[in-house]
Amino acid sequence: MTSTKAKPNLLPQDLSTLNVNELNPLTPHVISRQATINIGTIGHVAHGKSTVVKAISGVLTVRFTSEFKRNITIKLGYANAKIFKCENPNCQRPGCYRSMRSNTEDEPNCEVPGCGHKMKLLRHVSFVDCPGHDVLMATMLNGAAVMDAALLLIAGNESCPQPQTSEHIAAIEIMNLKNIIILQNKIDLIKEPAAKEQHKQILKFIQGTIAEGAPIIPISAQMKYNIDVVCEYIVKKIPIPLRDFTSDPHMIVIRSFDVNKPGSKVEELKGGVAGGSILKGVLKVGDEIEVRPGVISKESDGKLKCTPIFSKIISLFAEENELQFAVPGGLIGVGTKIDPTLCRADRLVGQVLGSVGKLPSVFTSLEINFFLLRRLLGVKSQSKVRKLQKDDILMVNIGSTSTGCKVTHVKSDLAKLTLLTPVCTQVGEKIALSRRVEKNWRLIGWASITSGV
Amino acid sequence: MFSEWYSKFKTVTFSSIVIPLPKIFVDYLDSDEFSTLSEGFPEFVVEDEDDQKDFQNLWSTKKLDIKVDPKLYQTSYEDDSDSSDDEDIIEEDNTEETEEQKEKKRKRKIKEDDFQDLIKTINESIKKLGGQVLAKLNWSTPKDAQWMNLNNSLKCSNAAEILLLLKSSDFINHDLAQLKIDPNLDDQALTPYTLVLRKWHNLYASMEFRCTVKNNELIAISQRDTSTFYSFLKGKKAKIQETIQNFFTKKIQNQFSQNDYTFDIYITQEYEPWLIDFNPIHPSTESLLFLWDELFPELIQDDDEEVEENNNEKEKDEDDNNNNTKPPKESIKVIESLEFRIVEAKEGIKPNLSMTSRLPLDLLNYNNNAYGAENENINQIFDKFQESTDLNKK
Repeated sequence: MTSTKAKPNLLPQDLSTLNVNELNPLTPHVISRQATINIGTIGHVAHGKSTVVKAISGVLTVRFTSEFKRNITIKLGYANAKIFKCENPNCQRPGCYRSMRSNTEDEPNCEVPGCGHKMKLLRHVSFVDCPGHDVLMATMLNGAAVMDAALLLIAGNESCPQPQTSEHIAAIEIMNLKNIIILQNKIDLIKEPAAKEQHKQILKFIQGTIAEGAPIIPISAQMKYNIDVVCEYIVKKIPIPLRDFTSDPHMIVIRSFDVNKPGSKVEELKGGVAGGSILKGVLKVGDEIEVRPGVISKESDGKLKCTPIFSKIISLFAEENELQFAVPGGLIGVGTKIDPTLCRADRLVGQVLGSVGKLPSVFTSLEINFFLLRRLLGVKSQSKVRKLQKDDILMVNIGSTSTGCKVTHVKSDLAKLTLLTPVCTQVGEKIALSRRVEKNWRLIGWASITSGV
Repeated sequence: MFSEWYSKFKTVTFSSIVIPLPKIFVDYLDSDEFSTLSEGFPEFVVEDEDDQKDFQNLWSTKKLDIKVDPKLYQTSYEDDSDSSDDEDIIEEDNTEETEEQKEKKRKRKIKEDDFQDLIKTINESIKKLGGQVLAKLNWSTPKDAQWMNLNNSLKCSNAAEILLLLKSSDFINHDLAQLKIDPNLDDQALTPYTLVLRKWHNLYASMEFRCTVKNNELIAISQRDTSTFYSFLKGKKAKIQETIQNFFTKKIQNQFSQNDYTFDIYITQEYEPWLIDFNPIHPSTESLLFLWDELFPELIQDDDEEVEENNNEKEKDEDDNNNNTKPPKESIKVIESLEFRIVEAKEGIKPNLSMTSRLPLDLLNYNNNAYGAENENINQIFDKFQESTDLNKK
């Protein structure tokens, strides 16, 4: 089977005619099924972050049925949305822009009364709750541009700056996001002069920050007011990101599970599922893949051995849309032939999935060039950071992986670490070092990998 | 507390061994000193022995050419001469005696050799339980420290692995804050703290459920792994509910020490129920696919600060906050008779909430906006990260 199961309203994907060199983040048969642009949503929960995402993406977070319907936000995390524009040239802006759920057909009817035309799919975006820790860490350590833009939320019924706003702008600066849209939410709760006054405050506040010059849109997510304007700005103001579709695929695994019914017979067993974000390249159904570092087994002499997992992709999905191939953007689920017990309960989290033989090395010991902070961060603590010592147990963050390590040698600003679990990484990568201080893991510095075995 | 209920429900739960802990071990867990048994770190087979030798004996000469801000960072040279330990760790003036004591406790160096007998007991108990166990303290399992173990798992096969998990876990710290222990107690004296070892079973997350009991009646059952849609669960729902209901009536009802509580249960493929654990009705217990408002509306306080205090609650109250600043109470239906909720539709990949425990507190606080003036400082740190990245690219 080379084409996606007939889902009448979505464009088919055909691997036999696929040419990755021709793909871009707007290719119709890509965005029919998966998001290609990542937008961070930044703001305080009380300012209506999840209502905004819901208003745009239509993603309801009801996860259970009962006669009683109520939305429970467990954690929005990620939600995808399609953004359309009416093809009728006489259909007025901003009403001609519309956003719908990720599984919506590509040419829905325009809902403007009396228009009667079809709408055209322009973008498929993924909203990521920010500052998400995984995103922040990846960006911080290796400058990976995970986010393409940010929606910054400010509550219209409070004066600006609000306590968190400057922190949010700082977060945007860390993530190096240049494309920002500011949403002045809950505009329905205030009168026009108050809204104008707050608009002025915001302008003043963002002066000189990375958000300077960002458009400010008054909205009411609750009343769905001006959501069309937000859609228009997403289309017009967020440049199409440059993506690397031609490199060997590289996906970081953030979830893995076993979806089998207990007691399934071998012949009816479904392989393990891995979920994550593709950093570069294209994954295809049928691809032979490798997962590193893989599984750890005990040898007869008591030593441990780490063996990469080799398998095959049997299905791909983005939200509930099935895919034949997946490109960077949003979160992708990969159905494999991997022994499901290896995937159970997030066991593969932090591993890397890619083409056979093309992934970085697996190290169990690292030599690092480190930089230690003088003092711990934070106001309350004045604690000095003790220097590295032999036998120190630390937490290391490497890419999207966290593991424990033991310091085995220290020589001025170089140290050798024995890792608790093998890590798929390469020389030159940045890692963060944390130590248990006052019963918490605290950042004590960072380092760069100089060699490893 | 585990030891309280275990004897009563022994026959319907996983085999476990409860080991009373001496004060010295509690102090060891309390201390910031973190070393490990020599076998605590696994040894991996290396393909090329020569590479390994070279790695151990040689140092790189090529270093990063980065100028770090000496105000923020230690410079390597000044550190070389000074090999003294930790008298300079804390600069704070601890005027209060209790603080001093705490301080002393934090800095106390206890080696594993100091409680060899306990380690022996732990290792023997692991053997008795079949070689693989899950470890917990009186109340908590060190789930948040899973990354500090092989295979991202809580499965332990020796004492060293258990020590690593316990010492890395904030959940365990929480347990350690629950009971006061006389600092003058003899090191070997037993404390009310216990280490619980439970036989390891490779469970299917899909078949774990959390049940809520109110006034001694089972009122709610929720899928425990709320992040995954298991297509087969729908078809098994009625049978699972019947199994749990029967089990509750026969084995649990009126036998637990309280009238309101939750218990977790595992259902095997033969529909055999296994009790996993009990938990109190408390904000720190996850209500999963239910809201506490639906289950115990009388306990919900209409106090925004209360809500703020608890992150889990905050998540769930998010919607309410959006709709209006005050939760629309009237829209919440109180659950009175048994309701069973499972995840009913495939929603794609969701991030794992427990991932936050894999980051240093400083970054979490940063995300939660707990810092004020210190922010600038943090930004500089991040700038350095960025800068060095750029340098490396050049």
